[in-house]
Amino acid sequence: MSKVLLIIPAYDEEASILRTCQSIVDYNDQHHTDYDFIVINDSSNDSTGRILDEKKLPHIDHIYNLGIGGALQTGYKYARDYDYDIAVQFDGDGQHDINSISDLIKPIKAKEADLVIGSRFITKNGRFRSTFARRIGIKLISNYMKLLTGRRITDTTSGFRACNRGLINEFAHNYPSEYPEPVTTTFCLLRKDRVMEVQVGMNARTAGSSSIHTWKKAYYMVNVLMTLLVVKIRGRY
Amino acid sequence: MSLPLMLVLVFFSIALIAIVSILVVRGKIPVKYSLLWYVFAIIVLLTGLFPNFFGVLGRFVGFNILSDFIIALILVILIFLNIALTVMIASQRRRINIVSQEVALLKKEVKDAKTKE
Repeated sequence: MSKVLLIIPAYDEEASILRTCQSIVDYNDQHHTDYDFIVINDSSNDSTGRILDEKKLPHIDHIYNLGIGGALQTGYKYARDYDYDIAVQFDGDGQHDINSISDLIKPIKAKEADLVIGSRFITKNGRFRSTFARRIGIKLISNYMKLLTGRRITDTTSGFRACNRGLINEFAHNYPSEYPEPVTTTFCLLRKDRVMEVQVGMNARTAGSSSIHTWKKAYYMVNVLMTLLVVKIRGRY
Repeated sequence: MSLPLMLVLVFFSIALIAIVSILVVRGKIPVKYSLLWYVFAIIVLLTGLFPNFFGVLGRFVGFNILSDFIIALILVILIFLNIALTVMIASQRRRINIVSQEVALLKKEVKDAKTKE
């Protein structure tokens, strides 16, 4: 039986964090699964920390805001220290569908993959809708990664993903603080890790806002493209 | 080069050496990092004391006016100092992140141990 940990980074998620955690508990009850979870409270300004304390939800409080990459890395360190077999990144804002987790970890349990990415775009009838600009951006990064690695990843920015013990150790040791999703995916592909995509459900966010703001989009794109190029040249991030 | 400009360069470099020395004595800058600034101050001092040498050098590189050459020289040195500082900041940031992550993990362990008691 593999030990599975859901890493939930949370920054100012008071509106949704309780619901997210409750959905995991309910899912475990209904499906007789044994998913553990850990919320990484990235020094939230709102009542996220108080809610986590009061409800006695397993969580780690950052002493200052480290950003999404730093929060995820703390989760991977926890997964490593507490000897988990599989770590799943799971959003605190209710965007990720808990029912998809079993699909996500199946290839890892079967030792067919090291990293499994939950994609919104494999099948056309996914429920997910995104803006035109966002689709263009994702397409561009996808083509660019194909150029660098030779592999097509349909959903390069998906934060819904699972990895095995080897990558837990790797990410605990070193995790990119900026643009972790495309960077780690490119890194794994270049290392010839077995990367797989599976279709997952994703909801429009119920609360909170994307960490990618409109005015930062151009800056984001340039930064991502350059960071990936460095990963390609160095073989590391 | 005019005498006033020479004096300005000499005074500036002496002031710089004085400021850095005070900061080192007060423990605000480690000696290791002060050396960079001493080297910079000495270069400025030399340009003020030996303008002829730098005039020849400047004309060789293609500067007609000595003061232009000196400003360009200072600019180049400052850019390299800046790059060195950027590298230091990046490595500090990485280390601070690691420390704060470890602290956060330890805090949880302590909290868990306390509730178990």
